[in-house]
Amino acid sequence: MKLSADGLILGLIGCLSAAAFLVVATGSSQTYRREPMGRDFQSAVGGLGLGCQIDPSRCAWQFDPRIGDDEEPGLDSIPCLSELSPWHSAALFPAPDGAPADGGE
Amino acid sequence: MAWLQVALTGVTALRLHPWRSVATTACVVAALAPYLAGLGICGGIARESSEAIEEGADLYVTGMQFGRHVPVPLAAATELADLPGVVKVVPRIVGKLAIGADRHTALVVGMPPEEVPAEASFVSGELFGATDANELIVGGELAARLRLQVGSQVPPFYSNRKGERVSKVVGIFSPAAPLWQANLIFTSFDTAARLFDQPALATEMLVYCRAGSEEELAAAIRRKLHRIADDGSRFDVRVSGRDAARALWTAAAAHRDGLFHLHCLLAVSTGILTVLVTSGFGGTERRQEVGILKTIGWRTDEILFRNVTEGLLLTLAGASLAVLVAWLWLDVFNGWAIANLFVPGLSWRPHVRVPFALTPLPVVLAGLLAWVLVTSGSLYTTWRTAMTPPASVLRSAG
Repeated sequence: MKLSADGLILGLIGCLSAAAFLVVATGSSQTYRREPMGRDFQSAVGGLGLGCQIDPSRCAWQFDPRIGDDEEPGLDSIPCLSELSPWHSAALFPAPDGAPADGGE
Repeated sequence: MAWLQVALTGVTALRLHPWRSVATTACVVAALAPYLAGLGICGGIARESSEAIEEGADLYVTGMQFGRHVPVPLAAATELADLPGVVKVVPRIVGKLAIGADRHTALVVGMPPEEVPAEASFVSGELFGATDANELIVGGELAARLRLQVGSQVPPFYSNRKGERVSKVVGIFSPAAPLWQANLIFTSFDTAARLFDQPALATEMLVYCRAGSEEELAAAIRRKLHRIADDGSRFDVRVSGRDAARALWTAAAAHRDGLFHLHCLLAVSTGILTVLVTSGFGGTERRQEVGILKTIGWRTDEILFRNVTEGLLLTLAGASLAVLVAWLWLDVFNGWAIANLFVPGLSWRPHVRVPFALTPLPVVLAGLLAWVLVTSGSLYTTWRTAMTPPASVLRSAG
């Protein structure tokens, strides 16, 4: 009886681990599943969006650095950690250093 | 074989203290699930961004004055097309407009209709045509906020010297289209020019060129379009290409500060509870258990091994559950109440499919973090107790 109860726990943990492994190993990703649609969209709009903003009204740079000005809202700080812009929770791009990536001549 | 039997008693320990096991597993899930979900969203955006780089133009040409972007005259398209190596030049308008009674910000993108494929899987409804009517394709979030459907008529929301017209919604972006469609109004170049009342300007020129000629062409474009007008005003251009975007992308990997800090903070604060459960609240039980095991002849290393096995199993259960919860949260529930933390502007219940990618590395790191949290609380207590004579341990444990 004792062995079967232990076996049940081990089996349950094994099943959970296998399910988690499957989720990660199959590359469970919305992005993969909708790749053709993403390609069509990007090709139609000429390449748009390259960051975590869904429109450039808060920070054009985080929407798409190719079209955005290098403006930056003020930074908030998290105690004991580095600074964090309130609009850049998942900041994918470093804040611009004041100069565009390619400033022209 | 003896060690296997000792390990199996680790399983028994889980069963003997069910509430301790459940509480520890719940703490691990609470700490790791939001962390994994956040990393998943970040990974999804990263993949879609990479698609935006690869499927976009080879070069983006915008005007520069006072260190800021300015539009490019449409006449520049002809000048650009004459440069050697250029395959195609497409003018594009990207701008912001307020729409609706609540003045929602819409991102207007105008492209020549001939550059948009006739069949578009990313739109429910139709694509705009090369007509004089204002035909619009609207993003999912914007359509939901303005209650727009295919066929809806939109009263004039712009001003134009030649007069304003009612616009028609001919399509709504599919929820599964990339994230940046959320607040988009996609229309023909002429319609976009009408909406902004800018008939002779494009915000950028998309230049498609022969492979390998990008750098040379970028330099040629800067030389060709740079000019000083008769009144002395200076016009420069900014040319950015795939390499610049890819370089930014590489730097971006090291700058996910916000995401990591926020979730590490959460993980550590919940982790403290885990340690309390495994070491503090369950301390008396554990001391009693160790005292009894020592009395019946268990060695310290065997007790520690039993403890490590118990911790490992709890970690495995907690981390696996956290992965499954994160996956359900993102896939089935579309990142409700978490996607808007990572993608500002999305509603708490997003009307677009939130991209995500659960990759092995963060999952393995999360598992390691969970193991450290679970075992660090109990291992030291167990070792200290195991080193004390059993009689005094049992006396102090009551």
